[in-house]
Parts: sequence; C-alpha cells; structure tokens
Amino acid sequence: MNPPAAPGDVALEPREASLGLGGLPPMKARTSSITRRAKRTAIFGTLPTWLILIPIGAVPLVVGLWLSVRDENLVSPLPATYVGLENYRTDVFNATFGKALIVTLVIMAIGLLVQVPLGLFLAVLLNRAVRGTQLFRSALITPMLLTPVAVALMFRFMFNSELGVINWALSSLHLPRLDWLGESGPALLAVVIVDSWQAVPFIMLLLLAGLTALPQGPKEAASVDGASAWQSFRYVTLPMLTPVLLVTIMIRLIDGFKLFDIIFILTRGGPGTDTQTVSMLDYNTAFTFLATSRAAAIGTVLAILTLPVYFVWIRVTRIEQ
Amino acid sequence: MRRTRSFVVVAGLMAIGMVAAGCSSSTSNDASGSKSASANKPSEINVFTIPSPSADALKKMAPLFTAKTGIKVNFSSTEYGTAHQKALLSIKSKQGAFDVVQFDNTFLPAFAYAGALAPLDDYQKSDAYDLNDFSPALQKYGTYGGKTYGLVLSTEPFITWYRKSILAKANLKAPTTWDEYQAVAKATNSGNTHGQIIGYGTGGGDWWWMQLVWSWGGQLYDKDFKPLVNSPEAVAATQYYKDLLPLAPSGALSFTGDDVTIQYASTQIAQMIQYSGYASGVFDPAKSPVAGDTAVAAVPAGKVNAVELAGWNIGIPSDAPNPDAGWQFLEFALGKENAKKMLEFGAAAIGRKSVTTDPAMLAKYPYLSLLGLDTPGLVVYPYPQLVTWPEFDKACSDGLADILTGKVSVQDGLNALNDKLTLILAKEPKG
Amino acid sequence: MKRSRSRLFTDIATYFILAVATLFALFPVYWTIATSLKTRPDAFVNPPKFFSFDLTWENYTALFEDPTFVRVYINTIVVTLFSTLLAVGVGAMASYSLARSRRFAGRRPLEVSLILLRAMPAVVLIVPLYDMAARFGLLGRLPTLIVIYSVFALPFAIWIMTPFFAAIPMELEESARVDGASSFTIFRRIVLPIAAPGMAATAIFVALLEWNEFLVPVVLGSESTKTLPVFISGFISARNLDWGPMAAASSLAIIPIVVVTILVQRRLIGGLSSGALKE
Repeated sequence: MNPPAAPGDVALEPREASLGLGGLPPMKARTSSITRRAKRTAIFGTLPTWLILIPIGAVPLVVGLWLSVRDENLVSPLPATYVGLENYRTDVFNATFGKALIVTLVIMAIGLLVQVPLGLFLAVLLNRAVRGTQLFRSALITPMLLTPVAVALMFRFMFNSELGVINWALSSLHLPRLDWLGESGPALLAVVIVDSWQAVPFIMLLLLAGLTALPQGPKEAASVDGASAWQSFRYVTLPMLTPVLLVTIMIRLIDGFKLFDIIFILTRGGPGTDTQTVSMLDYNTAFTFLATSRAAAIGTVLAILTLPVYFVWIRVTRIEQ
Repeated sequence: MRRTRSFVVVAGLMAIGMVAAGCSSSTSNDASGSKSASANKPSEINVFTIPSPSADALKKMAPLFTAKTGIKVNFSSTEYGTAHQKALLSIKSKQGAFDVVQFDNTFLPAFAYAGALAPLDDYQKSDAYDLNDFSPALQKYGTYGGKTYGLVLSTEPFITWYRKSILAKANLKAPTTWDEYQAVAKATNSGNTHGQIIGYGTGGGDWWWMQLVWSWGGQLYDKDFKPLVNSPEAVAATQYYKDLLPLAPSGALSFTGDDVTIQYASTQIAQMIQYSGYASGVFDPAKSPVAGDTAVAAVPAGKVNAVELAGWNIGIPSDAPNPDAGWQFLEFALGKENAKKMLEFGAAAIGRKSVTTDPAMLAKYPYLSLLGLDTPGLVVYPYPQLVTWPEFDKACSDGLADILTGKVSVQDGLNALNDKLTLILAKEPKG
Repeated sequence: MKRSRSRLFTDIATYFILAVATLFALFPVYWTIATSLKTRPDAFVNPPKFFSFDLTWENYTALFEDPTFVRVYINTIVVTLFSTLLAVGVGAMASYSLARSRRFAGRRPLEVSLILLRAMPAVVLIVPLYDMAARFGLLGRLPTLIVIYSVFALPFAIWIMTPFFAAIPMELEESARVDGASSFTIFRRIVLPIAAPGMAATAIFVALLEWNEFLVPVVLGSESTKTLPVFISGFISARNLDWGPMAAASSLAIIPIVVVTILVQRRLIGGLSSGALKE
C-alpha cells in the first residue's frame, strides 16, 4: 500500500482519537456485566481482522527474517543453506544502502519543508469566510486521489527536456530549462514536485479540518485586543493547531519513507542511484537481481527501522489529547 | 453467550465468504490450467511471452499452427519488469505451466545455470528449422556452456539511423567510423538540430557504452571474470561516450531505449545509434514523422569493427509437459519457411540468410541487409553472457551516471566501477 | 473604511492565490486528458498546443480494440470491489470493538500491528509474501490480490471508522440489550444503520486506495490478473513511439476518480470532517 495521500486519515485529527485509533466510550459507571460482555464482543469482533492480518501482515515478517539468514536466490541450482548474517554484511552495511537511506531521508525532509507550509497556507486561505472556497477545495483536493502510477507517467512526459510542457513554460518565462530527469539535483526536485503535487492537498485537507474545528473565541478575543491578523495566527491559531500539525507531519513522514510508485515510474532511481530510495533498493534486489534472501535482509532492517514509529505515534496522539 | 457466538460465526463467515467470492470469480482464467494434457498426444501447449512485437507475431502465427497440427496454443504474457523472475520461479518450482518460454538473451545464462531450460541442440538439427540458414554469430546466439538453450526469436543489432535531409544539407555521407560519426554530429549540431542521440539513462545507457568499449578494442572482463573496465581502451571509449553528450539533445542523460527513439522520431536529430528492432516503429509513417527521411547504415567501426547484438531468445523450459509439441510450434513459427511471415506479422526480423538476402524482402525492408551479421571482419558481441547480468548491468549504469553527471573523472569512475564489478563477478559461477 | 478596503484586498489576494493553486492542481489532469485526445503530431509539437488541436478518439479505440485492456479494466473493478468489501466489512467489526471496549485481550497488540502495518514500506512484506505465495501456488490469482489489498488497507479503514462507531450513543445499545437483543442483533440493527454513511464514505476512500494499488499486483499478479496501474506502467518499455495510448489509459484510470470525487466529495469530506470532529 502506498497511499501518498491516504485521504481519510482526516479522521485522525479529532481530539477524541486515542492512540490514533479512534474515540472511546465515556468512562461512565457501568455494570460490570455489560463491560464484560462488551469485552467479549470486542474480542470476537477483532477476530476476522486477526484472521487476515496474521497470515499477511505478521507471518511474512517471520518468513522474511528466516529468508534473510539463508541464501535463497532464484538463479542458483543448489539448494539454499543457512548463511548467518552474511546478507546483512553484503547488502545492508554498505555504501549503497547508506546512500539509499540518505536519499530517502532527503526526499522526506525536503518534502516536509515544502509541503507543510504550503498546505497550511492553502488551508488558512480556504478557511477564510470567502464565497466560493467550496469550489476551490473540490478542485484542490483532486490530485491526492489520483493513481500515482498514472500521475508519475504523465509528469515524466511533462518533464521531458525537449518536448515537455514544463521546460517550455520555463523558457517562456525566460528561466533556464532543466534536464529534469537526467541530472541529480533536478531529478530529486522532480520527485519532490510530483510527491508534493499529491501530498499538499492531503495536508491542506487535514489542516483545514483542524482549523474548522478550532473554537473561535480566543481568536476573536485577540482581535478585540488589537492583534494583527498575523499575530493572532502566530500566537493563537497556530498553538491550538499544533496537535493536528504533528499528526499530519507524522503521517507525511511515514508516507515519505514508503515512497515507491512515483520514483519507480518517474526516475527508476536514476540518474545512477541518486533518487534510489530504500524501497526501490529492496525492490531491485528482489526482483531485478533475483536475490530473494538479500532483499529479505534489507526488508528486515527496514522493518526494524519502522519500529520507533509506534512510540512517536503514541506520543503524538497523546499530545493531541 | 450463545448470541455472542453467533456474532463470531457471522464475522468469520464474512471474512472467509468474501475470499471465496473472490476465488470463484477468477480461478478459471489462469493460463496454467492444462497440465492434464497427455504427454503423448497433446491437444494444446502453453507459451510464456513478454509483451513485444515478436510476441504479437507469435500470436498471429498460432492459428496457422493449430490449423496444420490441431494443437491449440495458449499464450500468457508478463511485463518485462518481472517476467524473468516469474518464469524462473514457475520453472524452478516444477509447475509444468509452460511448454515454451520467451526470454531476453541477457537472462539466458541465469536460466541455463538454474537448470530452467531444456537443451535444444538435437531439436534444431531438423531440416525444417535449418540452423545453417544463420551466420555463425547467430548460430551461437542462445548458447551457454557449449549447449543451445534459446532459439533466435529476433535479431536486433545496433545500427546507425540518420536523417537523409539533414546530412544532405551539410553535404555529408553516412558515417562508417566513430570519428566520422562524431564529425557528422558536430557539423550538424546547430540551432534546433542536434548532432546525434544515444542512450545515457539509468537502466540501459550502459548498453551503448559497451558497444563503444568493444569498438575501441576493449573488453568488459577476461576469461576468469576479472573486470577490465578501466583499461586504456575502455577509458578512451568512455571519454568518447561522454564527449558525444553535448551533441545530444538536453534530457539525453535520462534516456534509454524508447526515449531515445521517441526523441529521434519527434525532433530534429541527425543520427541515432539504436537497435534495429525499432525499425517497425521508426519506418511507420503513422507513428513517426521522420519515416520517409530516415536511412540506416551499419554501426560505425572503431579499432575493431564490432557490433552489439541484442534480440529475444525463446526456448523450452525444463519442466515443460509437452516439450515436443513446444518444439513443433517453435519450428513452425521460427523455421526457415515462416520466418518471413513473422516479419510481415510485425515482429522484429529474424536474421536468417534466407530473409536478409531475399530481394523482395530487401526492397521492402532495406535495413535487413544489416541483420545477416556475416560481413568479413565484423565482430559480433552479444550482451555479456553472465549469470550475474542484472547486477552487472545495474552497476555499469550507476557507475556511468556518476561519470556523465561529472561527479567523478572518467578514470576515477571506471576504477570505482571496476572495483564494484570485481565483487559482483566474484559471484559468477566458473566453468 | 480603511479596514474594509484592506479586507477587499485580502479577499482578492486569496482568490488570486487559490486560483493559481487550482491551476497547478488541475493542469496535469487536463494535460493528460488533452494528450489522450491529440493526434501524434499534435502531442509532440513544440510549442505545445493547449487548446487548439484536432480531437481524435484513435487512442481510445486502439485501447479498446485490445482485448487485454478490457480484461484489465474488469480486473481492476473486481479487485477493488471485493477488497473494499472485505476491508470495510472486517474493519467495521474491529472498529466497533475498539470503539466500544477500552480494554480487552488483544487490543494493544492490534493497535501496534495496525500502526506498524501502516508505517512499514510495502516492499518489506511483498518480498516474503512473494516467496510464500509462490510456494503455495497462489501467485497470479485474484483472491490473493484481494486479500492482500484489503489487509494493506485495513489500518486505514479502521482508523476512519472507529470514531464513527464511538460517536454512536451508548444508551441506544444499552436499552436494546436490556430488551434482550444479542450483540450481533445490536450491531446489525442499531449500530450499522447509524454508521452506514460513515462506512460508505470509508468504502469510497478505501476503494480509491485499492484502485491505485501498484506494488501488490505488479509483483504478485500475472497477465490474467493485470490491473490498470500495472498496465499503465507497461508503457515505459513498450517500444511504443507514442504517448497517446498511455495518456488514454491514464485518463481512464483517473477519470473515474475525478468523477467520484466531484459527485460525492461534499458529502464525503463534510461527513468525514464533521463525523471526525464532533465530540
């Protein structure tokens, strides 16, 4: 799953979300039999989830770990054997993996720096009581819902140096034409642009929902006290919005770490390995080099790298409460 | 309590029921369904293809084959990106899903080494196939460790493509050497017109570079799989490769296969080095505005008159339930009699002498004369025949990107590449 | 007076910026559709033709003449439909449980699993899943794709739906329980009807995710299960000297999404935001 803009994460920012997993019943005094019954119902209600989650979400991690200490590889005619940590030595603790990790982090960081301010700005504008914002909102959220593969392919066409509309626009504005997909900097920028094109609407929508839900009182009080629009935004609105902002940033960081479809189509990781993210590297190792076990080792390390997300998640959703 | 249980039952049914609903809607359309056909008298065969003009032509050939033999041919095709992985997995797990398998020549060593292919040496002695209709270079195209595992499904050497009008305007002739190629490029590169285009992009740019290394008399590795990409010849070839970059349209750094051809066909570019397999597209006036203005010539010669040869192979998997019927189909479609028909059905040409020297065919497809590959002195290089090809290929492409984008000097970049290739080639099975 | 003039100025600036943003948001969509309706020479011309080009349907007729494409479209619809049903069905039960019971056996592990599943790059699971599916002969089958799609969408479905269930007043259920209704009856008769609009909104969002899914079908699918994103990705190395069919296929992938968004978006976003924000 690679939802660059998982749309309905909207539901995450309400204050009632606990652990990001939704609201809880008010802790009223209840008879213990009802509580017990509710508990039993809950256990049975989550059973179908476990039934599909375990074979498809959990077992593969164990299988991945098992594969990662063997030398499964499609090409070898010999039966696979146990090799210990050899795959980790050759494929994880090396420059290629390090570079892929850095590329991933850079794309995440630049993405955030561009997307969050822009999304916040648009959300604030849409939140102004101006006629027609509904219409703008409809138009502006469209990109986040579109098929990333189709989007990336179309941008690939638009980024074409000679025939693409983007370079045509640049030269019409007397700006230098860029070799978008051929050189490192522009290629990285191209990835960020396409990712942002889908992510900014998502951030905008989340923050807009957060803004709409803010109580108007404090803002009006500030305005009565003669605060400028900027001051009231900076010292009243923004602090109140912080919890939603944190959740948004966290979700974007997660999706940035997972970025795959767009890069797969747009640059294939190029030029060279300059836009090769960890997901791309893992994919290439498994499905281009046909080296299952080495890919499993990379995957296992990526799984471990995601573990801290859980703790961040808990903190962020707690602040939100 | 009982009520709660009924909730569970329904919950479970919902989870499983939906899966079942999904199952029933689809299980019938998988291609591997006909294993039951008896080995003696098969009524149908299954062919694994990769989307390509050659695969399309095979599909057009199938009804003719069925009419002649009564054997039905089922096709299954998988995108190039994961095709070899999937074919190899299917064969290695002995599913017996396919009787014929199409693959890129670059994967032949991996398939053969994995034991996934049946040797074809006895089959191809047949008169109907007529192996001697091929030049010696093409007879070897599809062999690994002295045995034949793949037939020639298409013959696609690098050739030079040029715009007659642009060269004529500058009073130039088609280049025959790399020096001339560069000279033509320089002479024509002005304004909106670019001197030449070759591939420089990630995932394939290195194929053009390999051609140059061979033309300069270099080798990529020696008999013991020791890499030689930082030899003086390779350094000179790489320098030339880089020197041509300013004479290509901007964006060339990201172009490989299709992009190169699209660019050539859509803008003003004097010359292109590209596989002959693109002929059906470039010479199709509906797709290509330059169709009438393009002519082709042999790839320029360097110190060595080398030409890089690409093209599809096709063979019989080692787990094929009906290998004999599979061969019957291959012999029918690719044998001497029908090879021309494949070309007329839109496939990239098969380089049989009977095709490349046929006057009627030559009149229609002039580029065929470049596909016989039996010019005296011509050295034909297929892609490096390596089990570790995918990694070798990616390493070369990545290493060259560093050189082309100016991160490292040619010499330093090739030294680094050589070190990287040493590690990869150490894994290459010997002997 | 001064204040209202500055207000007017801010309004105009707001409209202007929103209009520019909308242009950026919609231009690539327009360009995709426009390119799909152009002839080859018009698509590759420089300077580009924005409005005045000859309309042609040839790119679409070429697509539909290919029997593969029709099957690809049907596959995509089937997989999207069933995996959405599965994810929303299973997710609704889990969401209801999470919303109604603060502590129960397996709550914490479930939360951890869902969060990590949401955060983990899909390729981490895809590599072992590929190996497993191959061993059990499950590659290239629609049910395999359906189940994996739905699991990958589960965290998302559960997150959206839990607040909806939590918002349903407990008293309704308790009074029904006093009347002797079973848990299932309560869920079906009382909870589901109230949660239905929220579930429908969730289903549409989940369906969009499933429609767009790429990595799962490209790795675990085969020709017979090919979906639209896989089909579109095939244009990269198709030896097709033409962007027209690619743009046409892309248009056919994104137009249904745009239409759905336009048709139901007010209710969707309104429902989601207010449902999510209501105390």
